[in-house]
Amino acid sequence: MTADTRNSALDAATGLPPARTPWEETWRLLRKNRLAFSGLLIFVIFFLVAVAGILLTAGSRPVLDPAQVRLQEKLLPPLSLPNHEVLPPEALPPLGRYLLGTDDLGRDVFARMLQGAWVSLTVGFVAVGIAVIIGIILGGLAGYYGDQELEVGHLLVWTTGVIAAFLLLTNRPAGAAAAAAASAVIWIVMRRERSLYEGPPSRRRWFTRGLVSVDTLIMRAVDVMLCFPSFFLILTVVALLPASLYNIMVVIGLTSWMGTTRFVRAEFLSLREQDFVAAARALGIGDMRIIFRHIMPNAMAPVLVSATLGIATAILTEAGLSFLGFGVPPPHATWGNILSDGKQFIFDAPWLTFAPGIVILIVVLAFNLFGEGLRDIMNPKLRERN
Amino acid sequence: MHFHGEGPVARAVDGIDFQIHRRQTVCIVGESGCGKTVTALAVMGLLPMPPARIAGGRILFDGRSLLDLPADQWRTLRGRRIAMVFQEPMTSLNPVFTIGDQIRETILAHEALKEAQARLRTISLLNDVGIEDPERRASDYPHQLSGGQRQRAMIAMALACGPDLIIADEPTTALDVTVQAQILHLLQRLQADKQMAIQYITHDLSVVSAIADRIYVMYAGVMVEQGNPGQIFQQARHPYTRALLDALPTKEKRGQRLATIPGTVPHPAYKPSGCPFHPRCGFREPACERDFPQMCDYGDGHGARCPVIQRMGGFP
Amino acid sequence: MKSEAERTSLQGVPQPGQNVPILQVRDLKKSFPVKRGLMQRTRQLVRAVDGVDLDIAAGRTLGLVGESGCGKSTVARMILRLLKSDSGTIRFEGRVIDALSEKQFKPLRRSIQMIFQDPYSSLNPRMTVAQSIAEGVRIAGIAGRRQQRERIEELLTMVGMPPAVADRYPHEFSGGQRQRVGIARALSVAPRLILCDEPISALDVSIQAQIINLLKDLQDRLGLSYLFISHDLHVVSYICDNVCVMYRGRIVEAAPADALFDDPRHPYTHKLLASAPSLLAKAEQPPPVEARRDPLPPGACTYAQQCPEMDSACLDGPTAMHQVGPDHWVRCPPAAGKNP
Repeated sequence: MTADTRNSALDAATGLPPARTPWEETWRLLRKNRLAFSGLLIFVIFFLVAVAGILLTAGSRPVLDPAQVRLQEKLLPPLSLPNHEVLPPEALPPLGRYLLGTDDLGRDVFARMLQGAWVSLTVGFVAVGIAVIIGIILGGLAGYYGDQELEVGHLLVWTTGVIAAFLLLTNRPAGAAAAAAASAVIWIVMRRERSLYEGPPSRRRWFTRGLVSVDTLIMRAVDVMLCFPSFFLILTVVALLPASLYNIMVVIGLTSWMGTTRFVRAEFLSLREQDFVAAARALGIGDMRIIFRHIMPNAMAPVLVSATLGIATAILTEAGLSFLGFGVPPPHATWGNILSDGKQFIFDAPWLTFAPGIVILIVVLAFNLFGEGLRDIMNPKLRERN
Repeated sequence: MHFHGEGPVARAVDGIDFQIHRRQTVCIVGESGCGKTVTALAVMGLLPMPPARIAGGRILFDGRSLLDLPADQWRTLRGRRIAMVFQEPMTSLNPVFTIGDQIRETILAHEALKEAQARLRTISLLNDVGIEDPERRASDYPHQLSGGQRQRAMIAMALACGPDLIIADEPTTALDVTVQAQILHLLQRLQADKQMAIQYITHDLSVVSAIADRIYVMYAGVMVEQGNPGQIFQQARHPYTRALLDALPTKEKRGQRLATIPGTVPHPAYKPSGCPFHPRCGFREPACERDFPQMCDYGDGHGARCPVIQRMGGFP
Repeated sequence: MKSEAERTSLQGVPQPGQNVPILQVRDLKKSFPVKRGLMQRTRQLVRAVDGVDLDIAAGRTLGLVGESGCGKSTVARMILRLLKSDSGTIRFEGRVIDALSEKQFKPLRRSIQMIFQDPYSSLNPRMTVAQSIAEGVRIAGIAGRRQQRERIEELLTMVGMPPAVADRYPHEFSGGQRQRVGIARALSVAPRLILCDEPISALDVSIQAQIINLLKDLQDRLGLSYLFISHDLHVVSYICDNVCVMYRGRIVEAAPADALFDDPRHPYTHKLLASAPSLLAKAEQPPPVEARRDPLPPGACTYAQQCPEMDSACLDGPTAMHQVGPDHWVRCPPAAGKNP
């Protein structure tokens, strides 16, 4: 072959350029995008630190004890040495120094930051996980089944069904049975109506009259949710619920699914019209397989981007809640309450404010950079067609 | 005219020579990725640079070298003396302005006219391109027009300042056959009326045969054959041109297998050495893989870049 | 034969050749609502397909020609049941399929497949060639990984692709190669009828002939029937046995390809043929006909506004199909009255 050097790279068996899967392509582009790649790197470091943190600070006798109070050693600046004479040996910091100083109770800020890293990580991932799952389900429903009309009967069946479940849970079996029976009756009436009056809806159809399309219902619900100033909504809910990490994660998740829903719906709407979906339907592939095998993988790019950005927002929200005192209850350390505790000593012990502040800044910035980078990389317009 | 463009990783266009005379319709024919649009954009000075780079060559317009012109003079020339019509009229018209506004804007950008005069000119232009009821249509937005009417509006915009050269890049590819026939008819009539030259870029050989005075066939960034329609269609001297013509399905060929060109169009980044067509060519010789073929002259402006066929004295 | 008797009883229906039709479409209709305003109420119905009749003989190719928006793709989508028709019947091998429930239709679904226009959107970008084809292979009832793999490679070879491409992703291929993969996917369920929706118009000129030859070869080898939808009259005249010309949701002329191209009767067919540039000579372009603006009475010939030969008869009553030759039908009373 006297082909030029680039040509020799062609695969002999197929006559194509060397094989590259979509993931390899994404990885290649990611490495070329410096900001996004450094964001990813910081994320990986953060992840490792948080996992190390939970291993080192948890348990009854942790290696680094964030709850160890040393009143003699309070408000020491970073890198200061512990005083061996006044401290009992079990209270000495295992690293030999207070890497980030101590707080007003003499607790090791480094150990507390490690403990807080795990909180931030779990809050970020679990809250976004909840939001993404809700978003994919609702967005997918709105995008794929959006044209379907919800009928009067559907709503009645559902309402009575929910009432039945509620009564059953509150230990009122008789009422539950009655509600369930009502639900079943309406369902049967709907079926009969459908077989009686075929064709276009007539005046005589009561329960199978179209009320609102699935798409309208879901998207208006999104609009309603977006109307609430979400931080204050979270604040209200958290103030009413017992303070715990799980409640915070769930509440943040339940108030931040709207963006994902919109993205997923938009992707589903455009992908549903693609020829490869039509081809799959022509082959006789079922709806569920079309949704999960054909549409979903192609719709994941914007979801991934918004999830990455959502993690940053969730970490900030949790820190904000903890700062205001609504977050994870003390003595458990989170970046937000370290910051909050430190603000009284900002002139005497600025490290108490700066350590969590800077770390929050870096982690949130890293997630944002990574998310923005992913958006650029996954934008098909920036990829070559061939 | 001779230039040599370069893409980010690819030699998109490699040593293209062509001339357009006044009142002539010159067709540049080629498949996707052969560099025909890059050539047109280079003439218009619209190539995004970077990433593109013109690595050499000259573009002479009316004896002036365009590549040496300062940017503002080139801009004056563009639109006023050279105008372009694009493939997809929906995306090349701005959806938030009426077509009348867009044509008037082009006129006012190049000529010191009063608003009212420009308005009159706009209406007469729309009339020229065969849009009915031009006063009313001028205040329509692009989405209110049909595909054919949009393309007519694009042509009216290109004509706004009475250009000497119109570059039409696949102007009828997105249109139906009957509308295509009307647009081709319109271009021919306007050319006769306004004494313009037209550079018509297309992949469709049958359109070429309907309008061309002179044809250039491009393949993988290289001009492989040039000549008038009679020479190209009856006496093609390049294997690529010949194979394209043989591969066209027609009623007469029913029942026979179509002659095909094996393989695919080379990716611009993986262009073969020597003659770019050699991997798909039935008349390939060892030298074709090595040497870039010279343009062989067949007289009367007919040339083909294939020494093999010249030596054989035509196709067997 | 019941279907035969029924067919002859229908007036103005294009008759196929001697073969029993594999697909028979009668009076197929579909309108789309135009929704406007805040409440999205239906303001208007657009009749995309307005009483279409088609017959495809087994092993033959029927061309469906028309301009964009004339409803030809809608017809294909209804045959494939991607869209529900408003009325009319679709018979596949004698069975009415549009009345079947999804479950009853399932065993027949495999028999009709489609090849799409845009090779860039017809393959799932996240699936390898093998995964795309494997879905059909599984539906065709081939179990076992090794047997599936063998079948996939056999299908790839059949469409002229090296089996080594099986684990590549669509973005690595050119348009022509993707189209071949799309054909292999359609063949994976062993269909008997393939709807080709502009299968070559998005391809490079030098590739088009390859795909046409491939379609022809597959037809000879597998006895496939094609519905070939296109706006390119040259291709249709080459590949099709019979041709239907569609205008605004209606078939205006149906004939064997030779008769249609040698002796077109409908004024619209005339115009189409005159508009298609020919390689042989600088074509004389017909002068554009001024479209008449007066609104048409309901039921009038849809082409009347454009028609150079319109007379008052064209405005009243629905125009039926008239036979003007063997298997040659035209929906234009003045044209049918004239002798060639």
